[in-house]
Amino acid sequence: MSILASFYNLKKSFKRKNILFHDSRSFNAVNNVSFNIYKGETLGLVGESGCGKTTLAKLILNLFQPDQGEFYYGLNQDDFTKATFLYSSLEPNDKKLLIDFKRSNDLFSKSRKQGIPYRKKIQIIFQNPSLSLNPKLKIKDILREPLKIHRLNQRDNIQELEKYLNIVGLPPQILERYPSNLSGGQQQRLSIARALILEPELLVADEPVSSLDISIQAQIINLLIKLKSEFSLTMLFISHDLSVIRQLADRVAVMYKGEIIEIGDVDEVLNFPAHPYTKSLINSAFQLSHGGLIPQIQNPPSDNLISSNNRSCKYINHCKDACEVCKHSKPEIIDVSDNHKAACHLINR
Amino acid sequence: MENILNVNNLSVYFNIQDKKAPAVENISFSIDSGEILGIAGESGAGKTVTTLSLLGLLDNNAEISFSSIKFKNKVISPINSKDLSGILGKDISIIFQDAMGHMDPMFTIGDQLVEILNIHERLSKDKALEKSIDILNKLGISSPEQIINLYPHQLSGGMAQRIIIASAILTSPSLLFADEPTSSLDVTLKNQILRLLWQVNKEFGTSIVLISHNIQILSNLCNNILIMYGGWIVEKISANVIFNESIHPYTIGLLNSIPSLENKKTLETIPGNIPDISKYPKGCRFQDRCTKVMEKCILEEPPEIFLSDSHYVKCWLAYKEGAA
Repeated sequence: MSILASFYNLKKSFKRKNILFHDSRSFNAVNNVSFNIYKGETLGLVGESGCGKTTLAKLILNLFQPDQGEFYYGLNQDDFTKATFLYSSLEPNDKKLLIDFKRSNDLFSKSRKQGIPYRKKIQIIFQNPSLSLNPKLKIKDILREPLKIHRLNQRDNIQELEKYLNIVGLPPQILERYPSNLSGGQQQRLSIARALILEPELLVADEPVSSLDISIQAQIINLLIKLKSEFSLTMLFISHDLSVIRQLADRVAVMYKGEIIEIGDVDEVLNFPAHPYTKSLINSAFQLSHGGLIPQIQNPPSDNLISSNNRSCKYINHCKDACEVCKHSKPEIIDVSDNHKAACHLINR
Repeated sequence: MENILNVNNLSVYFNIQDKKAPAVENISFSIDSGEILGIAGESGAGKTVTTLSLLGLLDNNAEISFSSIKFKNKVISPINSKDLSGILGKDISIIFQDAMGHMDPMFTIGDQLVEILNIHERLSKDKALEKSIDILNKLGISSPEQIINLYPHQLSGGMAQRIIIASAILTSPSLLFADEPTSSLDVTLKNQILRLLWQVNKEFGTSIVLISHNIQILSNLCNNILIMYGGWIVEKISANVIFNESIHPYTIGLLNSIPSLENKKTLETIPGNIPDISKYPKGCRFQDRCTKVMEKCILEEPPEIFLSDSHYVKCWLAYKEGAA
């Protein structure tokens, strides 16, 4: 499979200011995240709230400026191979080459104007459709806005708008109405249409179904699966619900406290999870069962809280198998099998 | 077992643009003592309105009618606030979805728990604090002595929900309404909170009405499940058999649209949206979305059919099978 986008050492921190004590602490929302997105795949991203999923999505969309990190998009495969080599190499000569490579290819260091063509290729669907649609614009104006911004005047006509409404299963009569006239499911369909109208290559879906009812959720999931093959999209699908990820994704990445701790094929990760956090996520997911059973809680915080510093594993206080190594060194992400990586000291034990 | 709450023919109408819109229409159900009853359905099905109407918490534009409501074999009326004043908050409590929004930000957790005991059990401050700590301990909340000195904004979302559960069972009520207690929480937290509710049910013998749109959660915890659609209870079924014996096409559709963790499958969907509350069609309210719709469904309201003591369905399909 060929790579569409790759990210190296992404980092984003936010400052928390305490005005009263003239104290400001920074909080790493995304910390040293590196991963690839392959062409035509759906990469699922799971984790609990506050683990940095949405921050990562906003970094990809360039809605946040990262503190550090590189983003390569749509290079030819030789260049991607070169990047992989340069980043893993320790030779001083290669480091110089790497700096040159970064300067010419990194999307984050491109100026706003240079970045515009890429923005057209990467689009996003937000979690809450009613907040991401401008309530004062008519639906036709919401759909026309991206076309205007990217100066696609020849496509700015009613037939085109109706075509996209049809694709997402909305009636064409609604063009003259406002978003508040639509139900939650219809609003989410509209935001999908708005994202697709620019014919993007990479679609970032940030929890697109979590605010919807279960029957509507199934409709939207099926719609996304259909559109993905119709438009040959690559998708980054963010969700906290593992069973939704199972339906949609080819690969899955698990985030914990700003870091990717496990990544791999969806069947592989869900059937044979390597990291204890992934295991506890899977165990706590609700399944249809025949009454009277609640899944066991796997990760009660242990009593003797070890102050987790930068050098220890971040999951240490919740891990029942934590040992001496976990206190002193942070696990690197390593291969568990082909197409499956995880960051845990216990893997090779 | 003894019925703790018995509701007969409850209807709630809202006045929308001078028209009466039925939010809940002619529903009857009962809860045994020690039972967990689930109410499932999409938003707008009337789950919350049912609860609020029973507790007398609806706005003035709601019109409530019923033939009888009995709590512990005593006839009560949710319209009459005198009837409820001795019961609400003491013998019947409620947990809302948004825990943080139901605490006073200006008072410590301790103050808020003490206030409840002060009003309902006339305990002195010291005794009330002692009892609050005792309950928090019983619920397995760590270091309650510290927590009672905190303000609501210092709590995490999961902890806030735990405190709300503790405050709801302080006066050892016999009936607890839980309106979507976990839908704003994370997966792992969800489990812990539900386990806590389950523990409350087992240890204190509190009957619980658990409202959720997540039928998976309900099937795990409840004894019986009511499925609501368009203000009707379309099916009442025991949780053990919901996967095998449910008859109403809406229940089956809901079950089929749940994504599974174990394998990848094409999700079946229920087409369309829930109908507008002021524009219900004649006949069955599910007709537009039903895959098995018949001529009869469009013309006449479906009959209420009892297939057994614990299984009730409101659908013409069951009638056709000659079970009436």
